Amino acid sequence: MAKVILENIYKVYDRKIKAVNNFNLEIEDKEFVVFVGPSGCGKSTTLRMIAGLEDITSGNIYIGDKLVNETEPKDRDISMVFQNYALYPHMTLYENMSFGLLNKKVPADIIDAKIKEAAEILGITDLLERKPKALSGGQRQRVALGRAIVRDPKVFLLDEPLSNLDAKLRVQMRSEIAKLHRKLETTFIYVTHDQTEAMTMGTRIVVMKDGFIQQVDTPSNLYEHPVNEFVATFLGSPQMNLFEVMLIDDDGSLYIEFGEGGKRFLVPDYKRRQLVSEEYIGQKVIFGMRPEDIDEDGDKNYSINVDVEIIEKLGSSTLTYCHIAGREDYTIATFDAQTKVRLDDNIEMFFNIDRMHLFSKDDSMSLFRVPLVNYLNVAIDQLPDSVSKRSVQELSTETLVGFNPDKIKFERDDNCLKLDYTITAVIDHSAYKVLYGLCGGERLIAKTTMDFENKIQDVSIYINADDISIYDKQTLYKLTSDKYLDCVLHEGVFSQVGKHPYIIDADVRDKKDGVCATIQSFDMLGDKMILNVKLQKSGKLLSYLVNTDDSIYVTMPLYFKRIKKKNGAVTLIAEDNNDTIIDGAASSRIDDNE
Amino acid sequence: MIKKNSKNVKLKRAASTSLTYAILIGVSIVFLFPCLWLILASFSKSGSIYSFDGFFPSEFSFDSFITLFTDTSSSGYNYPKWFLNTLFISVMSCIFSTLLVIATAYTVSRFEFKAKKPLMKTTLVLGMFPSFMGMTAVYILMTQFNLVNSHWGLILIYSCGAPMGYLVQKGFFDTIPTSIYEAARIDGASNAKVFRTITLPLSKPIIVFTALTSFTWPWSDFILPKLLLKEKDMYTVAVGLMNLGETEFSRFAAGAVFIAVPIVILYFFLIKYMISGMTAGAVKE
Repeated sequence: MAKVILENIYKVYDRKIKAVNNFNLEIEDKEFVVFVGPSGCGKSTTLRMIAGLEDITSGNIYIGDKLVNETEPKDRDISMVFQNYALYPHMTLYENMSFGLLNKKVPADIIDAKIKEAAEILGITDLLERKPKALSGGQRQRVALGRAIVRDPKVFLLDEPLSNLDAKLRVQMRSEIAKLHRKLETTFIYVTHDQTEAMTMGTRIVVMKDGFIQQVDTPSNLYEHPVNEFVATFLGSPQMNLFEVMLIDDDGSLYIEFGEGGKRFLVPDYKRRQLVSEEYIGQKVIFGMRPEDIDEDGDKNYSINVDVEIIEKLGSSTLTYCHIAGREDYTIATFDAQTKVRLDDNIEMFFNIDRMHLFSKDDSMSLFRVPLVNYLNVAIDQLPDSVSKRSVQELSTETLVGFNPDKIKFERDDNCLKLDYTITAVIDHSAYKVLYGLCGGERLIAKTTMDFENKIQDVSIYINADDISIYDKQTLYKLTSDKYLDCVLHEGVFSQVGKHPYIIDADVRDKKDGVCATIQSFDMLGDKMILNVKLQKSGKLLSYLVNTDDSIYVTMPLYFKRIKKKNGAVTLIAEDNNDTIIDGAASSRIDDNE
Repeated sequence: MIKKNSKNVKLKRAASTSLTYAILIGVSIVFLFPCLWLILASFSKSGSIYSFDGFFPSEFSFDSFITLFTDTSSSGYNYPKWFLNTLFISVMSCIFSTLLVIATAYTVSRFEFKAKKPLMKTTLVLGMFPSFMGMTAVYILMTQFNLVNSHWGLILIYSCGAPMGYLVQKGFFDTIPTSIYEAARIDGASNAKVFRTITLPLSKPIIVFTALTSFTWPWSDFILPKLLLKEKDMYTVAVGLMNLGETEFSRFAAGAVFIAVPIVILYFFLIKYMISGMTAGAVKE
């Protein structure tokens, strides 16, 4: 029974380079989770942090119910299989596999039984007396797996175990590892940069890029409902075709238009309802279509005339690289192996519009994604009291109420905001359902594991006061903090002076310039963020409202800088902010004495 | 036409091979001739260098070797004693230096600590100065610790100086893949156990190399023993031979030849461990 929970994990090198950024993941017992992403995306680092081979900068890792942040690798009840096998070359396979058990002082007869059993499973019984150098790559990787199996770990960690094998062996070992997972019924965490491995092996896939999780979902959901352009193009081979198109509303119907006055495709109504926001209409967006969703025959309304420039016969299918007038990139279509299409043909290509993807041009996010926040026009006095108590500044009437689609509940609860919701469409993502509908005339998307029929229906929804935030209508900056503020919110300026990050504050006492503190938690509001810091010596907690800076992370050390007095007034000395003037006779002073 | 061409190519190849061999033979003569000459001189019947007929001695005998071991009383030329002194110093220094060098190299190779980089740079720079530059300082230090005229003083200097040359060994440890250590850590081995059960067995070649080099340095060193050993009975072979008179040249040569014997034996004994490819099969390269 081993769940693995990763909570706000950061890995920061040299106080600057963030290899892993706010990684949150709950891995269920017996799951096969795959971390996938291009090299340098932080997937191996994350795995090594779970293994304990790498320190975490901040956050918590739980294996089972145990917090293992400071636990030695050997006490974490994990096994790891390395990309380069990492066998002990001077030991026989038997010794290789028994090494860990001997260290645990397991009796010899039990070790023997375990090794025999593992060798049986992996088909290496005859090789046990050999040394690693007498084995082929596939056999070595089997031994590495065997060494992991005999320890009966709660969690298996596999770091690109197949990337050193040749193609044929890789396919074979892939199915063997999947079989092993079914047989052992333990949690597997598998790192790879190979999307095929990820798609075929994982029960859930974590797609990463630049240290950030892009999307976590089942393989089919990732493929069908990619959350952004990166996920869409990273999974699938050949990769998804992307076109820059215009999203236009003509007489109540939504169209995508290829180039000014070019070909128009009608977007089906049910697709329009799934749009995350109507505000993209009238703007340029990215239209995506996978090669296998382009056919030789189909609806004339969704066809484009192309010249065939390259044909690749793969045996089971034919890849057709086509050129569309006015477009530089090839458009790739996967046709049947028996296709009549020949080189240099001029053909019509038919798009399966039900399988269309749309992405924003600004941030590459999918227009069909489940949004992070639903924004609604709700008067503040309708909200439970506790919401406005968390506000950082005075609330005007120009605000929106926002909450996560995950947090919508369908049963009455205490201290909740109740809303009427008309569900217009239900999309089944197998692990969860996404509900599309209207709330007081506004678009609202909900994500739930409850069962809903796909029909128009009225329901009541409840959102807990703690899950509600208030946003500025114009800027969409958050106006409430996530937590109740226990102490006074100081104003300050966050800046990097030389090597160290500083908070520049009016109230730091002269001689205490440079008092050191660490960031306990932070809350991004928009252009501002709330930093909750703890003074190193006295342990005093302080909250600051400062300008937003992406470089921060929990446990980041922080220094204070005094403000120079100038003509009696106190001026901030950060380069960009020397216009801010704060009254020098402010009340609370920072003094870090024990 | 084609035939002629191929003949030309053959000729050219033969010419270049001959040239290579000629150069190699020339170089080996330059290297081997002094050795040969010394060996021949050690078998010379008359003791003096002046009795040589041209370049080589005119008459040969084993006399020098015999007197080398039998004539121990006269004028304090105790070759067997010197030989044992040298052996003692070298074996002891060899043991301590190897331990220290391997420990230093392993630490620097495997662990991250704050002063690692400055430390490495410092040793590199210090290593560039020839060791005899610090001789006066060493002498004064040794007198302070009352270690002049003591073999342990020499052993101390040799052993403590050895880790300065840890770079080769570090380079070797660097080639052992980190993932093996990590695998061992996950398998529950402590740092000490990893070193004992994983690193040491994998490092036989470099340990042998270290042992050999740290044996030969004190074995053949002249300057330090000359500086620190005052009594004839304490001498090492190198210092002792230097004190032989001019007329005893063949005895000197015999002593010099015989001093090579332990090294040769040691070499033949250890060479089989110096084979490379110990780590083959550990990881995929």
